[in-house]
Amino acid sequence: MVVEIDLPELKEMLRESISVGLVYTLVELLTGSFLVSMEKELLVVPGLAIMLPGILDLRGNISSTLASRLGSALHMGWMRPKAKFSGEAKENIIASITLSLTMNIITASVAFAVAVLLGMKADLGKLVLVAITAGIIAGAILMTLALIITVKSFKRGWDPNNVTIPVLATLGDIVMIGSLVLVVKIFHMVGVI
Amino acid sequence: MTHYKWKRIVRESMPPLLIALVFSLASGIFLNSTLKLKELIAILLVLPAFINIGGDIAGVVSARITTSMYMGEDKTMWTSIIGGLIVSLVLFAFLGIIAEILLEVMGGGIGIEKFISITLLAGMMATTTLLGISLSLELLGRKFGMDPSDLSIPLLSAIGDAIGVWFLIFTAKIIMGV
Repeated sequence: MVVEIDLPELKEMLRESISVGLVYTLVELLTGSFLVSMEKELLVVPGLAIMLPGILDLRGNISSTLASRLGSALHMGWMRPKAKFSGEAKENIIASITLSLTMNIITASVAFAVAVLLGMKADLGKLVLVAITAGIIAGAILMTLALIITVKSFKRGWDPNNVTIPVLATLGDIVMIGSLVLVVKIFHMVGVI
Repeated sequence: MTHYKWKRIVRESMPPLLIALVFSLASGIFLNSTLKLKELIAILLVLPAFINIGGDIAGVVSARITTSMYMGEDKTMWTSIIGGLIVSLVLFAFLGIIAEILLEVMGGGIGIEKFISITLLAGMMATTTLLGISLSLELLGRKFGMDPSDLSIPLLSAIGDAIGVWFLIFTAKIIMGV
């Protein structure tokens, strides 16, 4: 096999990917420091650490697929570029809310089962409560953002897919981890968990 | 009448989300196993960035290769792979340096050379594995006449996070000697 390299193309790829990468690495480190602030609760609430990656992953998946479908609807002319809760936008948002509630409950329940199997004293009600409350707060923010960013970038003549997916992937983590930390801290403070 | 129906979206989205859930739960179990260890804070701090870098590079390289296959340009394939590896080196080293600085500000650094070794080693292992998986998926997809984007992007994002968490925790444990 002959390995051929296009040098100008390589330079362009390095310049673009590294400059974007340095920015999101800094943003994600901020997200990471939110996680560090939750260290105590992760230790105190059994099962929370098990469901953490699942909950985070879910949020990114649901909001970026929402943005991607809204982008297609705009491109195809099925939807007018207005940030209104009707027609295609309504169907898509209802789907995302349903998915996020169902999947959050499933994730919390499976995490609970795993925790019990590992011999931990987990509480199903507490895990579901945390997953749903954090999911609703983050979901409301991210779905609104997905709709607004998609419509705005389309109006400006940008391809929404190039804008919304990277933006939502990065913001999605911060918003989700932020609301999770907030919910866990408040519930822990008032003694619910 | 709308083109999108919420019930249909829910029905079609569930299977990939459930597959992704299995992988994330595996990461969760792994994360849970480090809870009592002192390296937990270091891992939590870099975790979101670490997963994002690996997934992003594999995603970009895989999308570029898919496009180049359609265009029939073989040069792009190697350019993208080598480019992806160089970008990983730079970003994972940067992540280790900044994370160590943050930890020292918070009052608990683990040593710059240790932190860079963790992020670089784990990062290069994760990126190489993900690139390997995405290339195999591309070739398989091409063989069976499927659009590689439909196959590799959802699978990569499901597997990528789990692989990232595994490599990160594994490397951190070895390098920090716990």
